[in-house]
Amino acid sequence: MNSDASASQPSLGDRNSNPSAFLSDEGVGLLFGQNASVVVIPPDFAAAQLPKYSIGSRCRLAPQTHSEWGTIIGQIYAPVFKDLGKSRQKADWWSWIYLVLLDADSPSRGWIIADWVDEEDLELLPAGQDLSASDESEAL
Amino acid sequence: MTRRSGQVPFGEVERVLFRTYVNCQIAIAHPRELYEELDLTQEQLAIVAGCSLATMERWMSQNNEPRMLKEVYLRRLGEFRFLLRHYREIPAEAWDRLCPLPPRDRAILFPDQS
Repeated sequence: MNSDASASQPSLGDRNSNPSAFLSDEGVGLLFGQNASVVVIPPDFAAAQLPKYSIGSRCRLAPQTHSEWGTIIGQIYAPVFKDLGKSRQKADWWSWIYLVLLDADSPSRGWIIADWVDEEDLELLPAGQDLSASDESEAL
Repeated sequence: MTRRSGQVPFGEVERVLFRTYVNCQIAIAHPRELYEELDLTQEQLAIVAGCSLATMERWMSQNNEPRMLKEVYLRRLGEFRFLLRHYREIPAEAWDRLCPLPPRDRAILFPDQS
């Protein structure tokens, strides 16, 4: 029995020709998780739905014990995997994720500036609760 | 590709470290692993992970995983768990280079050395 864990790894000499040869089967997966290696653009991608919220929309993260609120500054269309098994060959579907710049008084603003939120976890801020944004712009 | 002035060659040692780093298994599988091991709050988990409290609460209470950067959050949580378990084994020289400890913190972490 070969106990050398590196035995299955590619030769170190492969690095210049293919750096990713050193990665495990799942890849690093920093952006979309370990299913990144099976993400493919679906045939009907061009007909995909438009984002519900536009850049600049004032939104609240769906109420948890502590809610968060801020302004949408980014949108990406990303795959959804409901079953994280390795046998998945494609995403179950795609949907929008938004980058929300948190307001100064949002609870998590003490350690992060912005966070990524699924469309289904967002709701528009009622107009009456939109005071902090105008206060901030006046301060600028 | 020619090497720029001052660059150290990417030799055998560096290649082994590269492969080790990118395949490192320090990440945990779910923030609950750390939550069950240590009496900390979901806010503290969110700070360690680097996500919002809302994202962490959704992850913990509804098992609704973040679609973006989940692996980054789990690696950061894994690094913290490693620190909790193994801080005593980290040499003083490494502490000084990585995150120098104020004397008061050093006395708390290593009371027998003060």
